[in-house]
Amino acid sequence: MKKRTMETSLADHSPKLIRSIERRLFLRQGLSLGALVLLSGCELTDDQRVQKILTGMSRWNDSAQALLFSPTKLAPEYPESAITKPFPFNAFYSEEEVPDVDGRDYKLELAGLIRDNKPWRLPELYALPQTSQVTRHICVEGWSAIGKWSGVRFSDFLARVGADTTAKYVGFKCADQYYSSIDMPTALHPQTLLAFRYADQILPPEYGFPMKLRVPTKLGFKNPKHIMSMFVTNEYPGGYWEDQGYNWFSGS
Amino acid sequence: MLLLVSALCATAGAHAAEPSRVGVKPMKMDEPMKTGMMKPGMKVGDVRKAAEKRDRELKPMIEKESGSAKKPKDPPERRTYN
Repeated sequence: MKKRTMETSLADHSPKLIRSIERRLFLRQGLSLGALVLLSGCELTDDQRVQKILTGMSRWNDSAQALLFSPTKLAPEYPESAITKPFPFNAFYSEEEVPDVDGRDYKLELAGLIRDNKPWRLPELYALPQTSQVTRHICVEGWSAIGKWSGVRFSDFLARVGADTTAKYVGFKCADQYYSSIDMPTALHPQTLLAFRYADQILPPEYGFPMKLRVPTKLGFKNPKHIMSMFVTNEYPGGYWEDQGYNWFSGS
Repeated sequence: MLLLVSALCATAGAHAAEPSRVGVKPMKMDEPMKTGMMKPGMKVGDVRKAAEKRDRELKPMIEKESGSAKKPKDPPERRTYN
């Protein structure tokens, strides 16, 4: 019998998503190759120029993926018996360096195209209607794990603060300096959560206290933890890994 | 008495304006990143530098957009959960 490890293979459990991402990667690489062929008459050692063109192709690919995104298609949900224990810690720093946010004076700052940008304290956020999901977190590194997150549906929160939902992006800044952003259709997806709890407990620091964005339709790096502020904008906000060349859309 | 009340109000106002506190567990900025996503040579401190750069780039537009968003006359009442 095949032994199951804690961090099960992405290919084992998410063949559809992997295939979809692989298709996009193939398309992107194909287009990148095309871009290089087009550039063959140019100075290929001009890194900046090549990088600019490849970035442009990647952004075009993002737009194509956004067009293919279905706002009603749901990510698979699982029974609680399928939850991965323990849920893996993953960050660009070690577990000992997890930011220690003080919940007593925490305020979620809002900016950009939001009517009511008064900051939110944790007791106010906890009082909003909450929902739970047991979904699979899929890391671009090639592992995945199932967990239970609870919080407020992000679309409800955006409606409550009067966010301009015709805007293109929602950006996030985090206590660990990480930053990321998502497209508005994904922000309004019914499974996108502003999560305050993991496994029915207040989100522990290692999983993103005081809150993380849980987006089961996207790869793990599009799920920022320790969110301190968010903004709605039409200006492309990028993200840390996205700015390093990872695909910005990174989802199904 | 009035002076005392004013001083207290000013202190409370100043406290309310403080940003959320993040505890001191300094990251080892010069250490290599602890993720398989890194490229050779990437360090923990690179994230802060990139975030500050991106913040500087976005700030003028976000401020402009914040200013253009219509403010509500009667924002919905907020409850708290204890």
